[in-house]
Amino acid sequence: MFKNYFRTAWRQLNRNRLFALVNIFGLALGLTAFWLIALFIADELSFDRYHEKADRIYRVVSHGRWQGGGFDITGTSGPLAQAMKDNFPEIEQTVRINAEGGGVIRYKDKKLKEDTILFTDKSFFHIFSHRFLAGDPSGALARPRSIVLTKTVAEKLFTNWENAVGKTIFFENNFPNLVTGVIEDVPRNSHFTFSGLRSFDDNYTTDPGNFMLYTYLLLKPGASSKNLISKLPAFSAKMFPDTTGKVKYNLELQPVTSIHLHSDLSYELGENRSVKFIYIVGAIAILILIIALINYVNITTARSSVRLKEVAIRKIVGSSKRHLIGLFLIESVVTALLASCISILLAIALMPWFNALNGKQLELFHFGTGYTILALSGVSLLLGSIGGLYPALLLSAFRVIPSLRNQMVGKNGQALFRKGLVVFQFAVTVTLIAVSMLVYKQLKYVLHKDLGLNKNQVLTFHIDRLDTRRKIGRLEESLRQNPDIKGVAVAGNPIGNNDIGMLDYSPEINGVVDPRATNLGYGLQVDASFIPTLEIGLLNGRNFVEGSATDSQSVLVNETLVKKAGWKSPVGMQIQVGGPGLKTVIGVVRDFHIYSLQHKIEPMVLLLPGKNEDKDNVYVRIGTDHMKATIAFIESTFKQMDADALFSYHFLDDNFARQYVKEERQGNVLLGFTILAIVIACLGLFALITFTAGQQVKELGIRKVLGASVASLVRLVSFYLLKWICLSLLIAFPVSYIVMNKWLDDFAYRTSVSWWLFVLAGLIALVIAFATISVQAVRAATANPVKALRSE
Amino acid sequence: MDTMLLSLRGIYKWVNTGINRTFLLKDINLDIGEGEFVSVMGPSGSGKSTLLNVIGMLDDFDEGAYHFMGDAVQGLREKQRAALYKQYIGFVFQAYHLIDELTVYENIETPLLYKGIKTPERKAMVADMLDRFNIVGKKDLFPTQLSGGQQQLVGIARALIGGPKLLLADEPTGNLNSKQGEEIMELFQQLNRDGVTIIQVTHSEKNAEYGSRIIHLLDAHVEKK
Repeated sequence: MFKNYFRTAWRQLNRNRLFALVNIFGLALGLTAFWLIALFIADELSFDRYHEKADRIYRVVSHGRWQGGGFDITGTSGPLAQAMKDNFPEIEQTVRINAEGGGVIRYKDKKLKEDTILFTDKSFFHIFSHRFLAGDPSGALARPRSIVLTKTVAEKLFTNWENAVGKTIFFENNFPNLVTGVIEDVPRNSHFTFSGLRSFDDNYTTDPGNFMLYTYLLLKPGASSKNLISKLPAFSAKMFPDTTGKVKYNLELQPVTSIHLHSDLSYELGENRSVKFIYIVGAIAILILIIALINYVNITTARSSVRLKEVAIRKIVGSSKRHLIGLFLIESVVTALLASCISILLAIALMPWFNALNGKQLELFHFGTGYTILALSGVSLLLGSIGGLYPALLLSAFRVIPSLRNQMVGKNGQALFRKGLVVFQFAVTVTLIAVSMLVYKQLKYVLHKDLGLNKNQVLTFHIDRLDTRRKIGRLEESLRQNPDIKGVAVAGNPIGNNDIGMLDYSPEINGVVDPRATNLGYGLQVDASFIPTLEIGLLNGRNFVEGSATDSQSVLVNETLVKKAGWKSPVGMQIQVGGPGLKTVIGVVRDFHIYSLQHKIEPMVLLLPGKNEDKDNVYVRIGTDHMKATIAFIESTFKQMDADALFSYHFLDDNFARQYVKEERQGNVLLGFTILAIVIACLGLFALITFTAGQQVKELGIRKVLGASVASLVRLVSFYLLKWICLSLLIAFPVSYIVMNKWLDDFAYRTSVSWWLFVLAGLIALVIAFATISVQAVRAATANPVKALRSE
Repeated sequence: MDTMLLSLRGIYKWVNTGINRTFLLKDINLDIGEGEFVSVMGPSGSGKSTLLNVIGMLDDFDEGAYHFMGDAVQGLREKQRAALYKQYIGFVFQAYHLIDELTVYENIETPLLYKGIKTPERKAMVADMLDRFNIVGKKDLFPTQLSGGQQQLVGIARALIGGPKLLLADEPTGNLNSKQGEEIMELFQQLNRDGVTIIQVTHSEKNAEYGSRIIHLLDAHVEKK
């Protein structure tokens, strides 16, 4: 019986090639999209799960709250790890990480700049699983001045990683580190990555008030994290006694496996993703599958009139309803299985493109060829059954006698159902179009928004060596000699990289500065040239004066700080910044962004650097002419100060742009799948209109004989679907409005959700739909009417 | 007449069009015994096909009693009716109604598939039938590759393969030329001699003569002879 069903199914497909192709290709596209997205999501969910003890590893993060403010940071204080271990029997081991271990490495005559080197405790490899190629995990970081390298870095330095262990390499100031191990490169699905690990000095710790270390815990097997969490408030109260009576500290435990998708705190070690995006692409995967499935259901039910006779005959020769359902189900399952075969080819072809879009290195058969094929067949079987069920039930329920005469009973309800499905398809497609347009609009907005400073044509580089920083005045002087250099400034922080520290400040209120009334803001150490070089607006008062004796006690503040403090005339106000001692406000600058636009502008204090060693970031504004020569000039001038230094520079606008890579990728992925969805939906529309036009041949023929124009016939054929597509727009608009606003939530500064986004998305969908429809409609309308009528 | 095969008593069938009721069948009383060969005649729209469909249980009736081999058809549910006609009745149509996607062999085989007959037995039965109708050479062709007469032969072979007691034929020669029609009628006669009860609807006096009894329908009721 099954053999018979398969044979019939195959002949059906073969006989109606156009519809079969549309069905199979549409489903194949849908399956491919689903497959690629499934890999993407699986990869996102796999983060940090490769650690053998992943289910027992937690990260401790700090929260602080006070009236009108607070902080939520990944950093913790140095003594915390030991204190927790002493206090909580649940904890088996702790490890601390300091991210500041990077710099220029020297080995013999080789120099290598590696920024992602971490300092850590020897317990690191007890908690985190990394495969050692050489060296001993338990002892590798036991002694100070040891370093474990990843394979890639080891090969860069020693050509062959096997030569690395036992060698001594040097950081700045000839600081030696003994290579004690080589590990495989850190898997890409880790929430933090590194190219090397250095051991802390003996008894290394930080001031309890300094939250700059990352702390991870390993719980004992079977220990309850809930239990531990319940004891944390009392513990933090004891650990951080609240002197001011205003700030409330708390600690939070984050399971290591949830960090990548759920943690969005300040100073994350790596770039995390929002679980929201996972939900969005997951929904897209399912929606695309549904769109493809709708094609199948639509085409099959539309064509049911053609198969009426067959159904009736089968019933007369003895087929039961069950047999008929079986027949149609097998047909759809065969379609789906063929689709899955094609989807393998499609997926192989699209994989490189998909990886380029999302910036990952996903492998198609990541879960093994066997499992993947099995899962694929499973999904297509399921699809086949779902897609085949409605047509099967519909067709098998027709009554014999009217069917034999090719009369459809209950045709209206069915046509309505079909139109409903088209409406759904197009509503989804239009939503996807509108949302992807918004993502790009926002990207354009953040890349071109006025930041309050001019980030274009500014080159910036970091001075690693303290010696060179001491001679910074000479460097600035030499640079200014070049006419193509419009300005040179130095600052204590790199802007646009989203990693500037915050500090406490207390403003003067009603004539007094209350040091206990602290606020949190950014502190930026800049020299007098910073404001003119970066073209920051000065609203009030004056800029620093280079070499002024008193200006070391002066500060500039930004508008936000003035507003927050409630100052009417800010110039001359007293403010306490960082440590004790009052400073005087000499000027107010226009708000400018030092962080990317996901972040709000916070109160900011600009200070002169205390000493030359703090002047480590150089900003050079260059002209648009002779850029190559100017950059070469800057490099050679810098090399004159420090022959050993590596000159690596960035453009300031690139620094900012890098902060939007995640959003850009989201936009690309979204756009890619939007195009897929449009293609699938149009395929379905094309087939549907081909069929309806075919059904209407006689009607069109009669109308033509009676004198109807081609245009009016095209209108007749296409209008009935276009009407429904317009309805789908009405559904798509509110839905996309909601989705857009949800996505924009991540940004402190947003583009507007303009009306034209909807109009344009609707127009795109209508034009594409109309183009698809009219090809067939014109063909049907221009056909020879005599031929059409003769067919009866 | 030997054993009674079916009997119709006061069968009415109608459709309501607005306030009017149009009768398709009006007070039909009919007994048909096993082994009869009945021809149903009458002008277009007189209800011949409807009567045949009612007898074949493909169509409902609104009033009256229909007994088929002792079972009261009006009291049966759809499934039971289907089981009944599946076992005892074979259908032949004017337009042949073969399944275009299936070969000659497969068309004939289909009723056996639905009866759940095992492969070896099925093969033997289909081979027999192909032999008997002299169409072995055509078994792998599709219906559209056959002439009308050949298609009708396949249709009859399909109707007979399940071994029905009753063969219902709705203008079986309507689409055929006279020579082909004659062959089909002779085949029917042969089948009738072999014991198959036949009811055929026909327009042709000549074809009607092949039967042992002629029933005339006019305006939905049986004309008195």
